[in-house]
Amino acid sequence: MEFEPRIVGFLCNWCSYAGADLAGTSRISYPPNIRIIRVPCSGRVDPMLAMKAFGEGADGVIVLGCHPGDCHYSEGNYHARRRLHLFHRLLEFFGLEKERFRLDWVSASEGARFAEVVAHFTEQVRRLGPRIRPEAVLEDER
Amino acid sequence: MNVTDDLRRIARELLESGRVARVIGYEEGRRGQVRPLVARTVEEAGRLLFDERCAHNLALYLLDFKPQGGEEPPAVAVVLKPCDARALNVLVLENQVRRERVYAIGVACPGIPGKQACATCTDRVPPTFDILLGTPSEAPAASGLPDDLARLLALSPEERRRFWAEHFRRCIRCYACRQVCPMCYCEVCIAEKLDPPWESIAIAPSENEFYHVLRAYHLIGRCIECGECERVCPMGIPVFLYQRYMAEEVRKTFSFRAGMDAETPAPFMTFRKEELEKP
Amino acid sequence: MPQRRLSKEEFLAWVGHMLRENRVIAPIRSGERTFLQEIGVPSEVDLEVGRPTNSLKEFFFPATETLFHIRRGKKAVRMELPEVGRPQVLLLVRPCDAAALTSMDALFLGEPADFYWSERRKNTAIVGLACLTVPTPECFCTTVGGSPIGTENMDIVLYRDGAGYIAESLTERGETLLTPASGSALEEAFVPRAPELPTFPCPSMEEWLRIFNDDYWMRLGERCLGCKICTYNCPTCYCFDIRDRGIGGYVERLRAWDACTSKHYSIEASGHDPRPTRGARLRNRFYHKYYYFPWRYNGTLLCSGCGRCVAQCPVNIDLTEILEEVAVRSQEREEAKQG
Repeated sequence: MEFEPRIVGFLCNWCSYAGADLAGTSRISYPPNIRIIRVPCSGRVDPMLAMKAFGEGADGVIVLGCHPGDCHYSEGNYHARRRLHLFHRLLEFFGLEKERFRLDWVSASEGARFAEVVAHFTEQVRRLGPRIRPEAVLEDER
Repeated sequence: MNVTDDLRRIARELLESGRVARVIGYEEGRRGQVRPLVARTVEEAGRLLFDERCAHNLALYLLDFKPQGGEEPPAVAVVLKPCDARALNVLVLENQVRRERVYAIGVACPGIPGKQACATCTDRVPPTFDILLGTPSEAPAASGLPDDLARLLALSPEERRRFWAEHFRRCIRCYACRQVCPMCYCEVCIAEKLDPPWESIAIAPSENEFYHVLRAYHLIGRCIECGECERVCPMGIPVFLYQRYMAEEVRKTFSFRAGMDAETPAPFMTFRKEELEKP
Repeated sequence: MPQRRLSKEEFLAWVGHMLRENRVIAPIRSGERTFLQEIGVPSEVDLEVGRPTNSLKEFFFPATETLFHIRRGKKAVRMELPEVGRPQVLLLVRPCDAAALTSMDALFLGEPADFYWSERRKNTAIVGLACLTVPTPECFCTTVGGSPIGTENMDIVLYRDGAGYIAESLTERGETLLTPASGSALEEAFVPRAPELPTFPCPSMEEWLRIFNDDYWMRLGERCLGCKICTYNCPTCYCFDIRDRGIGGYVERLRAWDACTSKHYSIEASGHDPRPTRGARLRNRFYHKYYYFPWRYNGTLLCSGCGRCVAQCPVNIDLTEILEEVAVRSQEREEAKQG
């Protein structure tokens, strides 16, 4: 059986969640691997939520927010951008496959883009395979 | 080195005049090491000392003098090396400590022999002080990344993951690295929150990984690179490596070093519209 | 039972033999530290071991263990016990660590006995290493009634003999374990001599009681970091927390170490914390070891004098100094009272 990645998506209420909605109402298909969690703003997404999702069995985490300049709260996504940029660096340093974690922008009118971003990310995670926990890394050694 | 004599004299004056109620410094330990001392009296001030064994970051103890229940805590004096003074700046920036309630006794620091963090540190004079003791030695030329960090960065991601998994297996989550860190002042650490439970009580590699990623993330742009976390680790886990690396990334990306002053907003407090275009 | 002389090679061959049927835990060197850890091959053993960083308690009472699983079956809810008590051998255990098990047994084997501890205790052989020289400057086992050449709880005791050892089995299990070892019988029995250790006062419960409210504890707390190094690496600190977690269709009940030195340990459901300061928490640790525990368990101290907390405390909270302070301050109080 082919590996089906489990993906958690944190979508901002104002743009990306509406974008996902639009993808649905427009009948654009996208991989069913994503489990969407609606958040008020991409700026609300603490990277530890991603770590928690990984800990609970997610293979990939994607955060989608309004395009820079379009944030409903003016600046939430700028903060998200800084945080998640450095969080990426951190994952890289720990050897934790930064490709499993992604921040992108999807507006309320970009239903097609939402589907595209999710499809692309799903494929990327699928290629990586299941996330490996440190226990497995150690087990491997023996 | 007569920093000790000066220190004792100043501490006595400060206590005697009532300018401060406590002087946080170092005293001789029992087995050849030094240890922190919160001196209250002129007699106790006579036990203070400063020499090259004084590794502890005493800014940590300023957190014990935060206002409680509307009551103004006593003014305190504290002995600060350059990295410790950076910690004071961050605590002031983050509204944990009021600068005017602290009398900063800065000490010129030649680096603590054998301390990991000091190997590549070029700071010799504290960035903030009310009085400076000792004569600053000439700052060495910046020597780039420490060897162990460079070695780790040269590894493949898989090898790095293995490296950390090995260490996380050993971690007992005694939280010494957190407790010793002046920047880790949360009333309830997310690692110990019960509701919702962010982290399981299990002391096991996955949970330990979560904890270390968490700690590294929470200190981005805030770590003042004193390296106390690694020094106190009983299990020999190189926890300072990731802090040091992230400090380097912050410096590269935002031209920022935490605690060089108490005004410049830290990277996560601010943003620029035109930056990091590729998310 | 008769003693046997094992060369280093014979010793390692014997370890190899034990590895076939047992999980073998031995001191191994990693950087500047030595850890007690499961070994894969005999060459991993750190023969120069002084005092390992971690204590042996984790091999009876792991930092985290699953007490049981609860799984929902088709008809009923099932409770499953994990497998506990694989045969294991602890190698080169110092007398203080072995003696520490006596205090822990008092707790875990008292009624009702702790299943997990008792299973592991039953299935563990302890090969001790007597201290013919003082292994570390922080050692103080004699102060708390121990001996550097004590053999309490050991199945076999080893005495350093040049590059090799003199081995003596003390129990039947030890005898069985030692049988496959080669080596030559000793003609004349080796009689160990205990090295001289620094001694410190060991205050009585009465003395401890007298200075409970002394300012000393709060002053100690001023420099205490509130970490858990001293408790987690202590061979006799046993506090734990129990929590359930649900994972993938079943529930797991976990038991994991906890420590009275940490901030949230004593907070009650109401939010009240009876030990609200670092000083109060630190005091609790020492009173537990020297007052509450012996009060409850017939005078058994909850300290074996291994010196780990002394050596590992980053801010030099030194138990030997505390013992002296307690004795002196208690004396002063008594004299003041009598006028």
